[in-house]
This record gives sequence, C-alpha cells and structure tokens, in this order.
Amino acid sequence: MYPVLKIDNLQTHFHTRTGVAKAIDVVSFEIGKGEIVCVVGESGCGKSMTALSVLRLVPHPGRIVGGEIWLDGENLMAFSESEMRAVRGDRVSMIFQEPMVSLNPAFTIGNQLIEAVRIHRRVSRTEARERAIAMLRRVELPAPEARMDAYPHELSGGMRQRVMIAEALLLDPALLLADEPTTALDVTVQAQVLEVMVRAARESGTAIMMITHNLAVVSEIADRVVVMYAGRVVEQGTAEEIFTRPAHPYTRGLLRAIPSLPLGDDDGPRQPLYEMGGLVPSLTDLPPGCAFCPRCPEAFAPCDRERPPGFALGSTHAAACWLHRQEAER
Amino acid sequence: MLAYLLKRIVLMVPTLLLVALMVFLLVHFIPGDPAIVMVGGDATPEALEQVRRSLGLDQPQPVQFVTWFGHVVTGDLGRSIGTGIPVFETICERFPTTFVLTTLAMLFSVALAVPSGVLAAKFRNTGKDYLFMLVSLLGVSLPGFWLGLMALLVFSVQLGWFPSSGYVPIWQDPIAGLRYMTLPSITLGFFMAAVVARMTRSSMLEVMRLEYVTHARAKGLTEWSVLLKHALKNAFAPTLTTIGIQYGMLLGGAVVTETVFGLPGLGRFVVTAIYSRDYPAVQGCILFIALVYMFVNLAVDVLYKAFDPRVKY
Ligand SMILES: Nc1ncnc2c1ncn2[C@@H]1O[C@H](COP(=O)(O)OP(=O)(O)O)[C@@H](O)[C@H]1O
Ligand SMILES: [Mg+2]
Repeated sequence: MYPVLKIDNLQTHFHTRTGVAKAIDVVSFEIGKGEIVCVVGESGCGKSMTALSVLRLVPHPGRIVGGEIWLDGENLMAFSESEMRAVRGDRVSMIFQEPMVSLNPAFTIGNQLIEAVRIHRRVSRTEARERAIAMLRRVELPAPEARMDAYPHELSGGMRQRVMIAEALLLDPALLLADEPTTALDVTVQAQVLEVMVRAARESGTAIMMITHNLAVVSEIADRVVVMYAGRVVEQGTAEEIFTRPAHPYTRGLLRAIPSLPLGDDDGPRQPLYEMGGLVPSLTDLPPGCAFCPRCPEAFAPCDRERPPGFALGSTHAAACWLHRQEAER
Repeated sequence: MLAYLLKRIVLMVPTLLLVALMVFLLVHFIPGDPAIVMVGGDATPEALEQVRRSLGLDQPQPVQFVTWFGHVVTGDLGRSIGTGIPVFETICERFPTTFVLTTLAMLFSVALAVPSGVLAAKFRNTGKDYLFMLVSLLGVSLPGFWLGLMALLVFSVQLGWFPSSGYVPIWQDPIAGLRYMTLPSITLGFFMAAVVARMTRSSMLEVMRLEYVTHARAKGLTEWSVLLKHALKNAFAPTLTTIGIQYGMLLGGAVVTETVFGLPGLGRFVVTAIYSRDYPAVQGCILFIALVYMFVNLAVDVLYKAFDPRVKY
C-alpha cells in the first residue's frame, strides 16, 4: 500500500535579485493514510512552502527545482496543470493561517462553499448547498443555514476557521494541509477549532499535514513529527520518540523553549524558559556544514564542514546530526 | 439603505451652499466686467452704469449673493447675460449631449480598460504587460485635442466612416446620433480607459498577492476563474472609485472633446460664459455640475458595497 503522501528530495528555490533562496533545500518525508503528521520549526524554515509545493502552488519567483511528490502512488510532478487542478481541493485541500484573509471578503460563505463542491462534483446548487450546510454542522458552526448568506467579515475568527475546515473537508480529501490553522485565533478558541478539525478529518479518513510551531498542539494531536530547520528535515519520528528521546540539538532546543511541557521526568524543578540563541541562517547563503551548527551547543569537529545525512535511530526515528553517526552505524 | 440615501441627500444641502458661495466669490474675483462685454469697450460711462444697474451689479456684493442665492433656492438660476435665455433652460438643452457623450465614453473605457488591466496583471512584467503599459501611458499623456483631431482626420475625412461636422441629438435619431457620437466618445473614452486600466492593473496586482487568491487556486479553480471571479471582484472596488471620479469630472463638460467635434455640450457653454463674464450662467452651470458630481459620488458609494460588502453605511 502506498503512503498518502511521499515527498522525495523536494527542492523549492526562490530566484531573487539577491540570489537563490533555498526555501526548501531538500526535504523528504511520508504521511500514511489517515495519519496526523506535524511539521514544526521556526518561522521561515520552509514549512508553508512545503505545503504549497505539494499543491504545486509555490508563488512566483519560487519554483520546485527538484524531487518528486507522490500522492497515493502517483507522481504529482508528472501531472499536467489540469490534472493538478483536479487534485487541488478534491484529493488534497489546504487551510491557511489567517482566516481573516484566506476567505474571499467579496463572496458569501455559501457562495464559496458551493463553489468548492461544484468545481469537482457535478451536482446541482441545491445539492451542493445541502452538502455544505451538513459540513458546517459537522464543524459545529452555530446556525449553519443562516451563516451561508453571511460574508466572512460578519463571522468571528474562530467561526471563519471552522468554515475553512468545512470547505477543506467537503469532498473527503485524502490529505489536508493545515498551515498553522489556529495560530491567528484567540487562545480560548484554538483548542476547540483544533479538536473540530481533527475529529472531522478522522471521520472522513483524511490524513493531516499540520504545520505549527506550537509544540503543545503537537503533543496533543500528532502521530508523527517532522522537525524542519533552514529548508531541511533535521529530525523525524513518532510523537513519542520526539518528545521523550529528541535526538537533534535543535529539537531539544525547541522542546526546552516551551514552558508547559514536561521534559523527561517532570518532578524536577521547572527550568526557566529557554531561548535558543542566534538566528536562522540566510537561505541564499547556507553554510557548507550543518545549517544549525552556528547555534548548536553541541557542535563538534565535522559539523561546520560536512552536512549530516539523516541517521536512522530506529524504524521510525531519524535525525540529521553527526552526534548520531556511531549510533546509526551500530 | 433608504435612511442612508436620505442622509446623504440632506448632507448635499450645506455642501451646495458652500459651493455656491465659492463659485460666487471666484466669479466675482475674476477681473473684468460683464457690462463692458455686453455694451462694448467704447461705451459711455453712463451707458455702462445703466447696464450695471439693470443687472444688479451696482449693489454691494453680499447683497448680490443673497439675491442670487434666494432665487437659486426657488429654482431660478437667472438669465444668461450673453444669450438672455434662462440658464436652467440652457442647461436642460445642453447637458443631455454632454451626458450622452460622457456616458458612452465611460462605457467604452470600462469595456476596454478592465479587460486590459486584468490581462496586464496576469502577464505582469512580461512583454505583453510592457506593451500595455506603454499604450496606456500614451493614452494618459497624449493631449485630448490631438487625439480627437487625428481621429477626425483618419476616420471622418480620409475614410469617411463618420460625419466630420454637424450634429443630431441621439434622442431624436438614435442611428444618426450615434454616428455623430462615436468618434468623440471613443476619443474621450480612450483617455479615460488609460487611467482606469492602470488602476485595474495595480489593484489586481495588489489583490493577487492576498491569501484568498492562493486559496481560490488551492480549491482547484482555473487561473481564469481565480482572476475573473475572485480577484477582479475585489480589485474592482477601487477601480470603481476611479471611474466615478473621472465620469463625474467629465460630466461637468468634456470641453476639449466637445470643441474638437463641435458638439453643443455644456462644457463649451461654460467656457464661453467664463470668457464673457456671464455671471449668472457660470454660477448656475457650476452649481448644477457640482450637484451632478455629488450624485455620481453617491451612486459610486452605493455601488461600492456590491463589490466590497465590508463597507458599512
Ligand atoms: N516571495 C518570496 N520571495 C523570496 N523568498 C521567499 C518568498 N516567499 C518565501 N520565501 C523564502 O522561503 C522561505 C520559507 O518560507 P515559508 O515556507 O513561508 O516559511 P515558514 O516555515 O515560516 O512557513 C523564507 O524564509 C524565504 O526565504
Ligand atoms: Mg508559514
């Protein structure tokens, strides 16, 4: 059986006047059927571009320059533009970060939902409308019939994001790309919206690629975690592996930077909030060695010269860090 | 909605009062004397004085203003000094021509400009876009009279497709009237189109960066649906404002076009009135034009909500 998504050595570059920004230097990972995979990393490390690459919607001047993207065993890179359109919104859908600006302000909720159905299904407007209302009910939007005639600005941020979730799951896609879907929301509604999204996706058997930098969210919902840094995957593993045995110093730094999460034995005294020093390197001028080396507290001999490949630490766990060379060879 | 309209119309009253005052002051500050224009430069002082008295120009200016405005309020704009005809009658006679000319020009320009603006935005920074930018730059910067004369020369004189002189109002004979209106409205429309197309292009580019456009693509829509449905409806709101401003301005009289094509519009009349210091005619026409402008503005504001539902009345 094929994984729902297999990203294989994907490279997405931005050709700008100042040089080539390697937004995705090289990224590979998989998402299994119905699985929830969280992609984490600091902002600017290529998470959104990874999601947009899957839909082949990387904005100008960005371009996918290498690698393959497999959806249920089909290579999307070989698809024509019209074949890609058939994929978008039907087999793979996406939720954006800002529900304030990702819904079109000039059209009613109903118009946008009915459109989403009718792009891919030959159904009447009434049928599409009923389908949309049923979906709004599933994401627990209050008074769904009345909301169909509302404009996005008439809804709260949480309600708008429920509409986005409803739209994304209308056609039971195989994969949902959720790009920080709750980051822009009030803390009080974040958890509810997240819960609704995960439940609705599970009901329709949809796998989720969830982009977030909120590790508390990751610990709640993730089956597996992909940690990205400067356009690369630096560590991936099951949620348990990442939270209990983080192998990359960057992952450890991320985990230490969240206050509410117990690390290992949680009886010990609360550590002060840790902040990783330094900045993400310029993507136009990546160092020859490990991109994290300049900020790494554990850097040693090979780190600034040679880029570490991914070392397998188990059947599901891998880290791109020289610390694990021996471990992996054993 | 109705309450909003009423409020806006009521608010026009103080604006009109202000316009009236400004027009009056401006007109009376232009050096020159309508009496001299009327009776000629070599008239005797006594004759001049008599004409002045008959026109009420011997009164102090505040009195003149109050008298004039009092009449305006009752719907009487006075008689033109130059023609002796009531100003209101002249407006009724001449404004329809200007209205038809400007409206046709506006329709032509929107039909030309909005698609070109969208295309230019779609092909931004490619040869097609640069060509479009060049043409629209020409449209903005070529003098209207030159464009009008060229159009006359080529299409009327050389090719004989359109009449080169004379005029039949469109409401008397639609076919013949349209033939007289075609060249003037295309010339005027081309100028408007250049500005509108640039506005369409830039607001399309503005909108196309936004997330809901990416979202529309992610739904599986074709690029044309994304542009023509999702982007254009939003981009059209600011464009509508530009169209409204231009339309309102030209409704006041597309003087150059009217002159080149010999159309009996309001613009030419106002200009003549200004030259001859025809106080009642200038004041009456400008007040009327201001009123028209305010109604165009109101129409734009009402229409705007159709394209941007976030607007609150
Ligand atoms: N329009 C653009 N022009 C140039 N570079 C861009 C553009 N958009 C994104 N990038 C590059 O892509 C990198 C990754 O962006 P993104 O995937 O949005 O990061 P994030 O992980 O925060 O979602 C950015 O750091 C930037 O260098
Ligand atoms: Mg992002």
